[in-house]
Amino acid sequence: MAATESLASAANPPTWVKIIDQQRCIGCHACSVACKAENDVPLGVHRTFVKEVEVGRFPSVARSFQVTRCNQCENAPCTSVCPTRAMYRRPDGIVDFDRAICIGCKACLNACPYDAIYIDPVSRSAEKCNFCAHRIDRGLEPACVSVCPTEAIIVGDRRRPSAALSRYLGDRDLRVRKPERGTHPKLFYHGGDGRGLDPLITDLTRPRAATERPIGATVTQAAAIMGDGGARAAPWGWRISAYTWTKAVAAGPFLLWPFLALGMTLERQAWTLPLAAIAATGLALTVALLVADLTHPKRFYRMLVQPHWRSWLVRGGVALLLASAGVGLFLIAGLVNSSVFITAAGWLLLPLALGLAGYTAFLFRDSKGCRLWQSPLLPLHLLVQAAVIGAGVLVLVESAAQLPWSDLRALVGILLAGSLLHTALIVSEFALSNHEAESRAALQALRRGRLRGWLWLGAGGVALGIGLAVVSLSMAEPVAAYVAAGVVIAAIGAYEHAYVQAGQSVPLA
Amino acid sequence: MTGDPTPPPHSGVLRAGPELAEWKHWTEWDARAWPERKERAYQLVPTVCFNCEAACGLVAFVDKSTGAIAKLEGHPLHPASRGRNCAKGPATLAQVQNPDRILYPLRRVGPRGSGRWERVTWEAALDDLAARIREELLAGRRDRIVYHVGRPGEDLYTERVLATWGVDGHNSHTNVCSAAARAGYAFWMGIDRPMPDHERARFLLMLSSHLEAGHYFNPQAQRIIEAQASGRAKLCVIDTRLSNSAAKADYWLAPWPGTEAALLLAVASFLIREDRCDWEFVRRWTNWRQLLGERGYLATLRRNGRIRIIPAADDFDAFKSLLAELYAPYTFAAAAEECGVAEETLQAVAQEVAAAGSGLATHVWRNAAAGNRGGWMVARCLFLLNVLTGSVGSEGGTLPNQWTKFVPQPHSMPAPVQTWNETLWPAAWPLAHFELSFLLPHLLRSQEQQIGVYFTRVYNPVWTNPDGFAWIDLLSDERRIGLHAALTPVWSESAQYADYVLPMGLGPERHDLHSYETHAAQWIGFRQPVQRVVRADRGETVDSTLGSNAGEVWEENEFWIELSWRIDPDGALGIRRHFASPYRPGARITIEEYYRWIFEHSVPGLPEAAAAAEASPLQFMRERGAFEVTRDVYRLHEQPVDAALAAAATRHDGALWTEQPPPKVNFAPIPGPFRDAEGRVRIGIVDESGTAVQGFPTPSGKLEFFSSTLNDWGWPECAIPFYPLTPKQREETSALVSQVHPSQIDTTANEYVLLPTFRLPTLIHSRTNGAKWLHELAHVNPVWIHPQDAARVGVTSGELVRVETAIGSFVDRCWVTEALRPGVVACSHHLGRWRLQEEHGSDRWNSSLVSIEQEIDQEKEIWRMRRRHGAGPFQGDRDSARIWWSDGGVHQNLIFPVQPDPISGQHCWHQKVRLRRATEDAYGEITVDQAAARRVYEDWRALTRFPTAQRERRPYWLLRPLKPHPDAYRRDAAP
Repeated sequence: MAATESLASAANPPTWVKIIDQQRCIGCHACSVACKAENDVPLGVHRTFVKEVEVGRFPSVARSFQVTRCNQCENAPCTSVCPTRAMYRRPDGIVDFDRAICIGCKACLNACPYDAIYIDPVSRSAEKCNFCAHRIDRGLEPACVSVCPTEAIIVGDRRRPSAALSRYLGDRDLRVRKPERGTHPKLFYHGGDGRGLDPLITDLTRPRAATERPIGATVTQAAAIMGDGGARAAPWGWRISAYTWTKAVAAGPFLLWPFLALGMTLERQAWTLPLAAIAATGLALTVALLVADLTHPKRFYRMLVQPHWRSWLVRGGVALLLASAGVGLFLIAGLVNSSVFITAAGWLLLPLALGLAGYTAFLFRDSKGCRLWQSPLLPLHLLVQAAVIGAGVLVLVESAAQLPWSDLRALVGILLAGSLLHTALIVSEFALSNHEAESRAALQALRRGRLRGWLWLGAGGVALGIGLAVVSLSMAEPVAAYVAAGVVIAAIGAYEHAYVQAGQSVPLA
Repeated sequence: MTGDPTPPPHSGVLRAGPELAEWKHWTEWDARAWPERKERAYQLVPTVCFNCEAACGLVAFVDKSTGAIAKLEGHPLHPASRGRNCAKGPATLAQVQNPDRILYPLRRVGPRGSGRWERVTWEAALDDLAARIREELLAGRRDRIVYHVGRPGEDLYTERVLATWGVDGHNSHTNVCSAAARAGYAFWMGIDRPMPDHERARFLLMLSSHLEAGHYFNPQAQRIIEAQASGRAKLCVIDTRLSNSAAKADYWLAPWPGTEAALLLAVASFLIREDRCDWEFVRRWTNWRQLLGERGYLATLRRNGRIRIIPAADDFDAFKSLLAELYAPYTFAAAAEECGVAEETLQAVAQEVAAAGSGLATHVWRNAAAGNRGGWMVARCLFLLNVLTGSVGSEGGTLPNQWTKFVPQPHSMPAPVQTWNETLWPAAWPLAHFELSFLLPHLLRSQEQQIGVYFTRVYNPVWTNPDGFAWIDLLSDERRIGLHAALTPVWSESAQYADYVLPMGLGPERHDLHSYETHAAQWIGFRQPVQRVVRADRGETVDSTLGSNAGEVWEENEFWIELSWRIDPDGALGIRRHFASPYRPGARITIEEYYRWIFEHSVPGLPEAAAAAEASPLQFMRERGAFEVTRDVYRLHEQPVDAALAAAATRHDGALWTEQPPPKVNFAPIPGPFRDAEGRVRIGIVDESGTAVQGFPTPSGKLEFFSSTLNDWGWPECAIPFYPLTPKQREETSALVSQVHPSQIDTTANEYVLLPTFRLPTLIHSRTNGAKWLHELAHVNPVWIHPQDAARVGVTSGELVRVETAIGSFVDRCWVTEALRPGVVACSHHLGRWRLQEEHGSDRWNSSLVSIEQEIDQEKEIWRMRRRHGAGPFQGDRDSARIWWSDGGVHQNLIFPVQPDPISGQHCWHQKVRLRRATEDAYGEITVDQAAARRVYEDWRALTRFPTAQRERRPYWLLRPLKPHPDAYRRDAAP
């Protein structure tokens, strides 16, 4: 083994891989505890956990053990979404993290298809199994490996494998979790019945044999449910649901700028200033919600000074900044009340609003843990929702400005058409998502779970809005239009909350 | 970015931990500062885990800057654990750092159990205890000092202390644990424990859960999985519940509780019927000749219908025919009918057993043996398979544990005690293995006895034993227990009822020397107070473990030396000389000297190994923490008797006898000595070929298919391996009929069997108090119930069920699962910890605050426990504020009446219960009628027999902790 003795050069670093031999695992949790001791992991969160799955009927019943943890992906979704590179992949393949620069945006928690990342209650940063990189660099096996009574966890350098590792690597019975996600895990499972690999096989409502709740599920900010099944605590709570809505309020009206600019016969200042004020408020709320949702709000600036451009959080931040500048210009134009200036600012705002309303689709698409959000229709849908909200806002603004019905009618028409399109998109998304297990589980949570109320509020509100808009149009009734606008704006908010939460509700580990 | 994402060049080679040469100074990167490379320097000191009985090696990382233990990892040089541990090993750190641990000696203020304490000095506690013990000794009350031990840290140490005091005061936990299995093995081979050689076996047959618990979880799990993964051996687990071990097994057999012996006899019957036995082994090593000579006994067998004709010949073929006849009724069909296990499965397992031959490793320690009346016969029937296949003492077979255990001799051994303690060794159970410990409240009451000084040592009878309210009643009674000193690292339910709570160290905070039958070798492991070792290495003068541990946490071994020294200030009691230094005449021995002497004189090969390493034996053990004595452990029964000894010995009755037996080297417990009428000691037997060999330590020197001891001591119907299959046989051998045998359970009348004994891989009895990581992983003990039964009771998972025994009930949640037999429910005994005070009594990580009330009337004596609140966050440390669970489980043992097996003395754990739905507000409610509990005790006591013809209290040859002088065995001797 001369090769193993020569130091690997920087150009030829080791490639660390890990095998978990489920035939040998006895479910003793030595790894779970050794990890806690080694890494001083607080109560409430786990970097590694042994899940138990029971199937069959007595006496043909089996229990399998499944060690779940970070998969050390070659194509690690958590690193690409991280706005500050606090999650990063080392040249030797270890996906490591730096708690000192994490801003706590939780994007990585949703990016991980394995639910292996949590917000540490002490550091308030995103943490996970880092292969005990601090031990690896000292030439030591990770703590879980050295403690394991049955040698069920094997690590080594793929390029210069030890004899034990070679035996496994030559074996065809090696599996990775969710290969279809394209993450290329460096953690391989050997043997076992594979039942534990499927997070959806366990009955989610079932109490556990030894703990009163699935481990980690309800602990403050412990997003990583390394437990044996159970509903997943959503990393992004109501603030992020609300942010999608405040953002749509700010951006929506400007998505309709062509209609406004081309079809406008009205007095400008009466509505430019309220519109600018609404957009500015929406943007301010958006930023406030985003910052408040960070576990390290004071580190918000790091996103700007050490940006990771690949992250849609950073790109979204730029979209927010640009949109804010645009709205600022629009406000000045309104104050100056110059028609040319307003028109120019409005046209400038159109692409900025598109970016602002739409970038979240890409942020969500990078959330590989949220299968529901992977829909190809999502960008379109987010824009449609923003546009409908925009139409609603304009209806309210214009009616406040006491503009004539003729001006309002076009907007009500847009509101109606948009609401119908939004409804069609919901149906299409549901239909498209229904063939995939995790999306189906998310839809299940939407239709029958605790999010049911929000979904029906959203759907029912839009339906009511559609009805009122039809009444308004057919009877030329402005009051029905105001009500329709208010109802639709609120209903889309409710739907977005249901959608954002449902996407995160599926157990992944 | 504070961290550097580019790792330094790496060889690609990893190791489990630093090499021995690096232990004095070792640096690692601080995990919490990472990826910033902040170095932390450690000294590594080996020690031994204290959590379960396996005594695995640990290496403590002592932080050089703080002197504190930073973490505990595996000990690579430990022969049994080989550098690996279960969850409980690394969790020791949480126990060391536990903010709820007891740091100073406490003395009660106010009535016992009132929960008020004052801090006292060790001096004051020692003086008080010494004075009281001295008073008892001077008054000749040698049965009024009792040391009750849960987890013995070290073989021999405390027994020696008690022997120096001359008291018959050793009380163990054995009868709530392994008494039945011990009895079953002892009647076969004298030695009362098996050592399954998993490493070399071809088939592993376990009535145990070694892949998650038990003696010896981690060392044996390693070897079981290795055997299985290599394809060399298959694993069969017999357990009514799907344990984690059963889940890993190639065959899982889930018989109805109490029928296990039938299943095993069906396998034996197959081996005999199909001629798949190692007949040569059976011929050479069993006492078949003795059985064929017992004509009267054979006549009884015929009378009982167990055989049709008494063999006329006395040759081996006659014995084979006898065997065939005895076990013919145990067909697969009959066993399947009896046990509820499919006939094909039994057949497949029997084939595996036959194919394994001498490579059959079997094991039972608790499981069915501890659950059922007659459970000891399960061990006997299991070992019958080893005997028939010739897998006793063979490579890959099952070895007597004594062959794989080494207990060295200390510098001074007191003479055997001359007294007999009737409250620990009552006459009704002469064959018990061992003390009838869990009956103490009943025995003290019926014998109107008192205890002057009662030590509990890592022992929690209130919580662990059945009928815990009787223990509360006893411990609260200052008349019956004069003084109770609880020696314990953690709060326990029983410590709440102590006069002194004396904090003792955890694994890395104390000395002990260990040796267990983990695999085919003899080894010793040295437990050390690691911070003390580091201080001494730094050149500090350290003459006590006190001061190196947190607060005033001490260790028992030094405590016993100090206490014994004070009991006998002038040496007049003859105690002091056993605690005098062998190196400094007249001075009190130090703990260093105690072990130094042992390592220098009593461990073969150790001085040589130390010299080779240029270290003193003590230094060698301080640095390495473990030493392998020998691997020469197979077929020791065949070893010839030393030729010179044999030549000088007297021969009669098929054995060799001498007046001057060779000095003992290994002090591991061994039955005997066997003496002839002239008082000569047996040193071997003459085998079938006429060679003088070691044989087995039994009355016949052979493996005893026929136990003359059982025959002579009142149990002839149980003297050969037997299981009653028919109602008539059950009537004739009621001592072998489980209290939960199908015939005892009316399933149509809402009767079920409760299996209350199973363990969790992450916890260990009540000793894992304070191990927050372990309690995070396991904090509730719901009642496992099969879906069919759940439907009958009308409950679903998470709903409440009231479980009723003959004396009381508890209310717990259900967990509906397919993982056990319908008709049977199960509940883990590891949880349900409670405390009477908000801030102490049991650790707040996992215990519930409860209140206890009593209602006594003419007929009933009701005790009731109510849960006021469960576990929850408390002011302690960073993590205590983050306790996210609110439940600590339900204490089930309180509602179990004592059920002492009439022969082994084992508490028969399984309970006949009724189940009812309960309402949410009743969660954790426990009600017990103590009057009923006493009636059940009397019912079980009535099953015992005492052969009046016997002049001894107990067969002298049987093992007994703190074995007294033969004179004390005489029934006419004063206690």
